[in-house]
Amino acid sequence: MKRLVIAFGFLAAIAGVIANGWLLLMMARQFRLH
Amino acid sequence: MIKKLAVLTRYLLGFDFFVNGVNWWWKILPYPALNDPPDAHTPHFVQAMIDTGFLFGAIKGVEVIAGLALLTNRFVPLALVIAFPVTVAAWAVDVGLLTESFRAQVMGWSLLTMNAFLMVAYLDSYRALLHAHATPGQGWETAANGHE
Repeated sequence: MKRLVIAFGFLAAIAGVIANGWLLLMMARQFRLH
Repeated sequence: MIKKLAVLTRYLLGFDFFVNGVNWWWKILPYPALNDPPDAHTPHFVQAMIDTGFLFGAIKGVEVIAGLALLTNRFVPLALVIAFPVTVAAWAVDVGLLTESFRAQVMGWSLLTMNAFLMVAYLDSYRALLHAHATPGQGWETAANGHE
């Protein structure tokens, strides 16, 4: 069970890193538009 | 390990919520903002929420508060519960209504995964909620007895 939660945690963290990276990219583009 | 992953995910979800929420008042993302004219790309469901004049702003307010709570590590279990309906709504819009956008798929699934994982990681905080047969008034009785 604990291993399953750790695997879920890794999935969440990786998904979060990708999403936040994309957000930062979009923010940088948005600031360049101004 | 779960603790380390939870700390990392808490910061990631906190930043995600905070930036998405703040965008409503201060446009920093290519998403709908308060002073934007209506956009044809905005899903009808989202536009309907914006048109109410209060609902979308309220949702963004929840995102800002939840984001700040997660980033500052204050009332995290409560913030996760309050934010979860927003997460599910955002996931539904991203995955169900913006089907042609790969970015929306990534954002929707990542939001749901992070929020769900953090709730699992903070399971201990929710144990009192998981009683099948809860009795009302128990906490009050105990408190009254304590003062007698």
